[in-house]
Amino acid sequence: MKRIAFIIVTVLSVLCVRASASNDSTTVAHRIEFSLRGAYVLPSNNIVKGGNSFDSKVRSAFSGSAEYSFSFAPSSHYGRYYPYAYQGGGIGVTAFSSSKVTGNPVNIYVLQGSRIASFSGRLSLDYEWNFGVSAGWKKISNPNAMSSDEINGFGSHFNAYINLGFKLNYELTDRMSLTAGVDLSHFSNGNTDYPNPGVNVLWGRVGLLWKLGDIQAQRRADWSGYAPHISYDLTAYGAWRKNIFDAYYSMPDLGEQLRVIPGHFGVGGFNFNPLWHFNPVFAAGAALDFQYDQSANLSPYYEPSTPVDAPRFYRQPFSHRVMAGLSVRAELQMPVFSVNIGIGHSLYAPGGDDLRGWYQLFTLKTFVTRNLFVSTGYRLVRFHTPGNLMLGLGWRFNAH
Amino acid sequence: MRIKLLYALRIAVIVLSMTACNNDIFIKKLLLSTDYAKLGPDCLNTQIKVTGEDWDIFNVYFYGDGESMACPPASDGIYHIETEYADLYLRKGSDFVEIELIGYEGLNPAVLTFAIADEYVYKEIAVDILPTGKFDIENVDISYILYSWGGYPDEDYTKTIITYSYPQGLSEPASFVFPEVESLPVSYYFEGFGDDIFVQRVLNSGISVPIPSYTFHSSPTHDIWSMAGEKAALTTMLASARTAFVPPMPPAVELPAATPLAVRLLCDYESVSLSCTIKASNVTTGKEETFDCRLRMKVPVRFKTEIITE
Repeated sequence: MKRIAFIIVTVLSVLCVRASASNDSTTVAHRIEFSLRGAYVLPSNNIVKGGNSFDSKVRSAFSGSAEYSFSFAPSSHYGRYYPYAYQGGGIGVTAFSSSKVTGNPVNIYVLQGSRIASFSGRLSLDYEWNFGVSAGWKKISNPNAMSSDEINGFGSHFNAYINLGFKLNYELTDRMSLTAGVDLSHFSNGNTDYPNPGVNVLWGRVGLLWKLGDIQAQRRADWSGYAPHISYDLTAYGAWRKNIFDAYYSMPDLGEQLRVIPGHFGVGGFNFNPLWHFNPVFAAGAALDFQYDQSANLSPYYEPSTPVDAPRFYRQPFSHRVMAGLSVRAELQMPVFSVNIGIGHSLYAPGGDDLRGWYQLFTLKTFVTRNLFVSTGYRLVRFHTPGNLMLGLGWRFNAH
Repeated sequence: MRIKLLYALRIAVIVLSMTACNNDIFIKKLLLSTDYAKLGPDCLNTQIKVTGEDWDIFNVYFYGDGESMACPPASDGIYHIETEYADLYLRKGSDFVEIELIGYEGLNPAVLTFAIADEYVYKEIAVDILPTGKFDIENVDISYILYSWGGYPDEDYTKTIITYSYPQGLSEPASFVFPEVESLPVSYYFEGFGDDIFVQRVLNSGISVPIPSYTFHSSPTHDIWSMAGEKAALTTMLASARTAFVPPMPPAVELPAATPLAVRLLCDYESVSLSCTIKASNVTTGKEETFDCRLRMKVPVRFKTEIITE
């Protein structure tokens, strides 16, 4: 998780700089923002609800961050399509109410935001998303622990940091703005280790924003040169994951005994996603999804004579490790980055419930060129079961 | 160039994700092509395919014709099962087990059992082994105790030898005499004592040996039993031989006239046993053995006439 996180953040950051340098105008607007946040930690998993060796609940958090971002020149391609979009990176520190369970992680992330609505010449409503790595979480001492009294941390020191915020932006002066709003953050290791934090935090934030360099005049989006069209995204991805098995699978009368499977397992797949681009901001379509999961549907293949804390499995048939499905997709497109959300259902998953049923996909595409993009995403199963990371590359055919 | 890099990157991502760290948890399932085989004169060699890891052969056991042999573990994977009458090999290969039958001179099918097992699964295999040849028995010498014998009255019976029918009756009364009977069948079998395999093999060898004759009627000294040159094959199954030593024919009977009737010649058989001693040589082993056994016979002892009027 550590290596993946740093690669992601480094690549995305470098690509942001390259993307900004590749546009046809050099008049880029810069900004710096400092913000403070106080949060309510949502009781969305047992660990933060007190199911840990300390019997300690994680109820609140406090965070401070510093962010740099830039906007494209008005005369540039991105500047005309997305006049209020800004993108950059940030760093922040989070302190939780029970840091003996969580630690006090440092977040390093890329960000992008834009204006949703203008209420007056000074007041606007903006949104912003952050994606990056959160480092410094407390790691569990027994990675195979299943009972709450053995859990004294999370699966990894590093987790993914995903944040979506809505904030009011009030221009105090031409260069200084006061921001205030709410954020929703999700910290997760993408099921690459157990236990997966899955910590969800609802923030209230306040900040000060400084504009540096040339101040861009307010303007509307110019989509006059844009023609709706269809593109075809082909993405290939891979990742590692942890998984669990039911030691009592062949003895249903005894109920369920869920245990962590030792080791990490490979996951890979590809998507083919035709998208209709309605305008420069929004696209939608359907996708054909294929996934291979080395750890899928292993419970029936557990050798019962082996101990549950050192289990052995027979290889499941290949057909039990694969899935083909169909999903509907919606994509928010901004400069360099696109956020793709999908809901799908398996069409072919003969192996069992691990790959069968509804699944949800959240993908951040970072366009290196007009066609080539880096894909970082996450797959959720049946709206609540953790799935796997999806890290890969993609190619957009018929990109405009 | 850029397209090639793109493909390489994509392949790298996919391959990298496939080779995750978990090789220790996967084991190969132990599978056999079959758990039963049969060897015999038509098939001296067979292979059982084995799919698995770290498997071995255990509990090799041979049983045939009263002989049994348990083979100790063989470090080289070659088990040689050799008894007085059986010779076969059991060999372990990398992905198979081979059974080779060199020979089995048995009376009844034998069985070779063993197990193939890994750390998790134990599977038993049975191989039926049919005799590939008959063992040779030579120099059979048999002697009987003729002065003492046993009787089984419950097993005595009377058999109709021949019937003459006159459904219209005779035109006039007549004196009827049956023609002479030259020989009669004798039922017999040999019995051994205990489960000795050599005894069973000798008694079932089919070798022709002298058997006693019921000579009470023909012997001048009324010896009931005599060695009169009659022979039969050694067997423990009920068999039939013929004896020329038949009871004397019954006297003539008077038949009435004008009455539908039939005249039957009946013979009473008695069930007896005589003790005997057999000495025989086993060519396979070179051994000569002497053992006691018993000859059970049902011999004709008495003729009688029966007239049946309808």
